[in-house]
Amino acid sequence: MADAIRTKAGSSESLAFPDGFVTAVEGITTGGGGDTSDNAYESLLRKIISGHTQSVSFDMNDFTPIEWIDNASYPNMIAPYLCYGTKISSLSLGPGVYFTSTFQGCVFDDDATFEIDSDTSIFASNSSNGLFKSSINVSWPNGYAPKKTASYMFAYTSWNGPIVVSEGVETITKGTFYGISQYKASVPISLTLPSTLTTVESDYGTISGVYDNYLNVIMLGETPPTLNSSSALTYINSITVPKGCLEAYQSATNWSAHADIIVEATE
Amino acid sequence: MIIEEKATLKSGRVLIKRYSDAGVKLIQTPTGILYDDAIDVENAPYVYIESNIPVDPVPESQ
Repeated sequence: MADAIRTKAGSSESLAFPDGFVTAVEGITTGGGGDTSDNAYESLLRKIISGHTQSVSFDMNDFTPIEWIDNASYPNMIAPYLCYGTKISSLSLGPGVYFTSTFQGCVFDDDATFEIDSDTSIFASNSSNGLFKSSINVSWPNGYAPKKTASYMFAYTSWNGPIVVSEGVETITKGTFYGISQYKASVPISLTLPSTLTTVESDYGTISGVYDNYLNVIMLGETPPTLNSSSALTYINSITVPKGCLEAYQSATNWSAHADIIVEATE
Repeated sequence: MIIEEKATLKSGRVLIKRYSDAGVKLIQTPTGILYDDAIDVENAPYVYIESNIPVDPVPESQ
């Protein structure tokens, strides 16, 4: 029995009965039975290769980085639920890929790094998707400076910490932050938008919380970005703007509809 | 035709909402910016005309 456990656990150490056996068994990481014959993923999903078509699930015990394998020709879509249940410490994704529920049920680690392409749409789905454990910085790989987010990029995602969109982004495309919510706790989450932002594209709830979990928005730009529709911001708890910019935001087209919840930063 | 609706926030701020009854986007002048609909304070210095670009359909509600 000990040999069998050592084989599965990849260990050669001796095991004391019974505690050592229990600890060793609990430490075994198992895959979810996906088909690896097409080399679509490797090493318990630490790498994703484009062209994968199979849905798999894993029950991973430890947070792990997921790396996108570069490929000259990207498919339009990666398998739904491909990463279901995984715990992710960092994520690097290639350009031009459309994900539907690929990361549903995922948990992102504290301070996870998140490198994504501007036209990569990750979480579009009609149900709750990936959980971001806390404090995510939405950023992009060095040398790549996208100016737009992807449509519905983070729609229906749950977060457990503040979201910060990196400087350089000029346009929040429709639906990018549609229906985002706080995981478990019934307190509002915050979304910080960069000073470079010039446009929030029209669509209902491009930036929105949910009906029982409103969103706090923090604007870093002194000039109000264009809001292409009055409903682009919905289920918003408060909008904090830079000091000295209160009137500019309260009187800007479509921002004016939120004038009563716009407040000035203290510094 | 552009429809105008007046509303007052709890703070007393008076707003005017404008949208097209033909379902097209509005062009704000003098900025030239396109809007699905536009809510401005009462004395905002803008004039709107209808474009020929349809407003995107509203997605299913949450």
